[in-house]
Amino acid sequence: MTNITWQAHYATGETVTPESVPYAHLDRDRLQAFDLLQGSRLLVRVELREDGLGRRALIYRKRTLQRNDGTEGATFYLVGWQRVVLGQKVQAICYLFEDGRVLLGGQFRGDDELMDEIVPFEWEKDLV
Amino acid sequence: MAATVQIRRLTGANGSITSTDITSGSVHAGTQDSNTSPCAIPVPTSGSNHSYWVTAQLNCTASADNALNNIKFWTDGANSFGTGITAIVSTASGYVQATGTTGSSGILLSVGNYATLATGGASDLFLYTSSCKLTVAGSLAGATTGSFGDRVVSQLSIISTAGAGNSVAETLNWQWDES
Repeated sequence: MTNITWQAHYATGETVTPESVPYAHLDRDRLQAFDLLQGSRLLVRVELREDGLGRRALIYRKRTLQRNDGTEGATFYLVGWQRVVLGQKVQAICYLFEDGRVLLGGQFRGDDELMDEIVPFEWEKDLV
Repeated sequence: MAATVQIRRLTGANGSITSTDITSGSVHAGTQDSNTSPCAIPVPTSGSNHSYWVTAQLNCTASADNALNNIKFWTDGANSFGTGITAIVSTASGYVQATGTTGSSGILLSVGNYATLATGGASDLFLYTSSCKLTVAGSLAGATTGSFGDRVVSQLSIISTAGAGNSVAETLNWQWDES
């Protein structure tokens, strides 16, 4: 799936894109929603507004699998959220594949090889 | 996000390392420190002969928007090299040139012989599968290029029951995340 990009919506109504704000510099405390788009077409929107059950922290990655024999691996996108429920981290992740499929997954480290947990970057303090 | 990442094999002496793009080709484990035309591993009459260890590392040639991390490595879990052939793997925080006796055997991949090998040394390559991947430490921060992550170092060993000729090729898998 080519030409995938994102945009983020703040509580103030402001919408930012990678061109205006690098992902690492997103104000994660002000996020209301996060979109993945293909061109101008909305593929997935992740709602992050307060829902009375606690904060939801954004998760977003592009994951690449590569074989060393030159055959095509796979590239897909993870987008979703993580929150703490009763002291446990709980995730809800959408996996977007190059053929257009969308898989709604649950916890990291599920049975599928795709569902390895992410390693938070230093700017993702709400995921640590 | 537009990172371009290659898989590279490292050979040569420290300080003048040769980094060869192996993303789209076979890697031969023979009895010399080279990625081309390697010397075969002789089948021993007793004991075992080892390949020179094979050191691989990821290299980013076009940067990500932000960073790369969460490197994983694994196999299909089935040793198809053939009778009498085994393989081990570990990660290493540094590079040590493979040595041994050309045309005969490499020295064993061990913590004693490879100073920066991960604690505990090497394990069976085929223990690492899609549900139990080898975690490779390291990341590439910022919109930068270059090598990143620990090295993945592997080695074949053969015993007297191995047959002559080229072994079946095994596919090795890498994975990384990008933001």
